[in-house]
Parts: sequence; C-alpha cells; structure tokens
Amino acid sequence: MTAPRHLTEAERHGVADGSLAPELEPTVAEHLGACTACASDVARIRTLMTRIRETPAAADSGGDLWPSIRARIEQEKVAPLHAPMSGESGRPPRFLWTVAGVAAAVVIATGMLVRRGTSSTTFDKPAPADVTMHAVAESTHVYEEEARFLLNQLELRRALMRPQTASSIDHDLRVIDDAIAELKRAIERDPNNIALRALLASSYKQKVDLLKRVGNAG
Amino acid sequence: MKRLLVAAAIGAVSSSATAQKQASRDSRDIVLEARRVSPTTPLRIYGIAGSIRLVGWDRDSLVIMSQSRPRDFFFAHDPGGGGVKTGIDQYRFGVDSEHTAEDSRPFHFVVYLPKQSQVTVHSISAAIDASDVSGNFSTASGSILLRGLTGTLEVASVSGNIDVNASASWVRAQTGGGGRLLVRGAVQDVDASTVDGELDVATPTVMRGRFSSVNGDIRYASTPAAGSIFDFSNHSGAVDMALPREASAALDLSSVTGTVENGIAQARPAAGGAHSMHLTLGRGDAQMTVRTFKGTVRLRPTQP
Repeated sequence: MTAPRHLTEAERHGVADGSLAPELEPTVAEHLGACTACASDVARIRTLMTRIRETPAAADSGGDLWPSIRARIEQEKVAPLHAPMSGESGRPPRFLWTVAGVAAAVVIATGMLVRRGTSSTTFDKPAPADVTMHAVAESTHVYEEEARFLLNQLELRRALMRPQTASSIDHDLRVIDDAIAELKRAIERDPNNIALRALLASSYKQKVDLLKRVGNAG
Repeated sequence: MKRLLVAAAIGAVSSSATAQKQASRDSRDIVLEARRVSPTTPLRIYGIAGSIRLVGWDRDSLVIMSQSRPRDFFFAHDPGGGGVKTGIDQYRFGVDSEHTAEDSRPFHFVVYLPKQSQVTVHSISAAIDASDVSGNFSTASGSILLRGLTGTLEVASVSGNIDVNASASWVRAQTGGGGRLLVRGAVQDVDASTVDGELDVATPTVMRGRFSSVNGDIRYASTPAAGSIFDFSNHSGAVDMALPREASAALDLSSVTGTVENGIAQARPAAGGAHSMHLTLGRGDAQMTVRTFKGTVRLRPTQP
C-alpha cells in the first residue's frame, strides 16, 4: 500500500550525521544508490554540517559550558546534584533541555517573588533581594547560552527553509533582539531593578521558544 | 489499480468500511487510506500544503480522505515506533514534496481518527483545523484552529494565526510575525505568546496562565477563577485587562516607562503611582501580575 517515496527529512539527516538506526541502513543505502536527488541532498547536508562545525562559535560544545553552569547551580541548590553519568558528556542538546527546565523553574519562582515584592513596595524601587536578583540573572544567562546554541542549529536548517519562512524568523529575531538590547541598556542605568531583569529573562525565553519553533517548522 | 487496492484495504477492515461510509456521506472526497487502529495509536503528519482537517471520532479506525491522490503521498505503519523504538505502533502520512516546498501543490485532507489519538502535525503552509484531537500542531505560515474536547495541546506557527477554542488541561501556543493568538474554550494551564501579533484571552477556566508578547497587545476579558494565577508580560505592547464588577482578584500592574491606568472606579489601589499599582478586587481570590517595559497597562470594567 505504501507508495514509493524519497527518504524522509529525518532519514537524510540521519545518514548525513551518522545517527541513522542500524536496521534502516541497508534500505537507505540501497535507495541512495538509486536516487540521485536524495544522494545529492545528503551530500548538501554534509557540506552544511561541515561548514557549521568549522564556524567558530562559543556554544559549539555545550560540554565546555557545563562546569560553570553547574558551579552556579551548586551555589543556589537545596539538594545536591547527582554526579554526571558517564557517557552523558558530549550530548549538548539533552543537557541544555535539562538546564532549560531548571531555568524555567527559576523564572516561575522569580515571578512569584517579584509579585510579592511589588505587593508591598512600588515597582519603580523594588526591595533589595539578592537571591531573586541572582536567580533572574542566572536564568537570563542560561537562556542566552541556549539561544546561542539554537542559533547555530538555525543556520544549519536555513538552507532547507522557504524564503518567506526564513524572512519571518529573521524579522522576529530582530524584534526580540531589539527588545533585549533596550532592556540591557535600561539595566545598565538601573542594575538593581528586578522587574527589568525579569523582563529580560522573559525576552530571552521568547527568543529560545522562537528558535525551537523553527525546528518544527523547518 | 490504486482504487482496487484501496477497495481491498477497506474490505479487509470491516469497521473501517463502516467508518469510511459515514465519513464520506457528505463528501466527494476519495479515500486514500482506511485502517483499523487501536484507540491510542499515534499519528504523524508531514509536509502538507493546503489544508488539513482532523476529526476525532468514537471509532477505532483511521480514514484519510482527499479530493485527489497527491503524487508523492505516502502512508506508513511503523510497528514499535519505527526508527525511535517506543514499543508503540504508529502511523505516519503526508506528501513528500519538494524539499524547499517552494512549489508545493496545495492538497486538502480530511482525517478521521480515534479521539484518544495523539497527533503530530508538521505542515508547511497548511491551515490546520482539528476537532476533539490532542497533540502537537505546527505550521510555517498556515493558520491553526483547535476545537472540541482534547487533552494537551502544543501549538506553534511561525507567522500564522492560532485559535484555541477547546477544552484542554494543558496548552502551549506560540506564534510569530504578525500572527494573532486567541485563547478561549475551557483551558486550564496555558502558556501563550506572540511577537507582533495580538494575544486575546477570553475564558474563565484558566488556573495557571502565562501570556507574553514583544510588540503585540495582550487583552484579557473574562472572570478569573478563584485560586488562579496569571502572569502577563509585554515589552512595548499594551496589556488590557477587562474584568467584571464581581471579579475577585489581587492585581499587581506595572510598567517600567509606560503608564498604568485604572478604569474601575470602585477599586482603590493599595500602593502605586503612574508606573505601578497594587489593588484588590473582591476578596482577591485570583492573583494577576502584569509587567511591561513601555506598553500601557489598562484595567477597566467589562463592557456591558
């Protein structure tokens, strides 16, 4: 019943980066031998991946970031983190999702703290709260790193996108980056304003969410 | 020959035949596939340009219909989850068209599937209209409309409009560009955001709500439930809160450089000024926090 078809997007990427399930390899190899369209697309993806890997990027390897992130989490944690399992290193996406989860929890907690703070004081001059400030700055930092990582992935996918989709994403990134830049300037003038930092964290969250959307829409 | 094969498939699955008959009663669509499936079978749909309508029904069968059979249409059964071994059978179908999808022909699919199914739709530009179906829906430029009784919904569009008018325990909805987002129906836990587009919330059932935008206006017009918690944030767009007189909520409204306006006469702020306000309506049963950078925050009574 299944009509003859080209390789799926996942299969083409699987072949290109070597992550294809072993049981699929014979079928896929056979198809690639007979289908020049898929074979050339796989070659193109490999070229793109090579180009990306050769591009210097701070978030190239999530493993380099982990020690400093972990150190900061350790400073604030209530319960000790388990030691990293062997084999977990070298998997930046998985650990970044975990870190993103931690960041989300921090943002929610921050929202509650900010709400409490504004209930007894004015918004313009929030009560000093070093812990809250630290938590907000932390979540911003984590989102910033994740956004950088996802931006690299976006460049990998860009060649496969429709021009109007790429244009729309670029527009949204500019809008969010403008907001982030404006908030950063405001924070330079008023570094102790928790609300500004919470808005900055929220803007970074939007940037991360946008970049994740790109993955689905690609 | 294809019609014979389709007819054979339908004949082999008696329940599907009945289902197909009902599905096609008022339609001139042809049946592309009809299968008996378990009630919770996941279905993945890829690469559709045009439109796709998903209808959850009380039958253990899957029927895919369209007005014509796309040349690159595919339908596959992945026993045990396919490449990613989940141990759960799943089906997937779609149109494996040009990779860039620049010249993808639009097709219009209607899919009937069990209500408990989990659906994943990744479309190019298709308008998605789903009733009584849960899952993950994403499109690059199409609009998304979700209705009926569902479980959880994850909805994303790069630039299209989204309308969630469903009963759902958990909803995450995001759109970009100038796409608008409307949240209504009976949703409980919601995380919704836009970039430039307007975000409207019109449902009293939300218990946990997080709504954000960058430049788009956010409008809330409903009665917050007792015990509910809301968080609204915006950069330069306005946040407009329209609450009925009988609303019971504690509100923290603030804007860094914008203004905060209170249009509810009987509500006296406990603290605040031009840029912030804290006030309580009724017994303050719901907690609502609004933050903007330079967008105006407005509180006003619901229009009679």
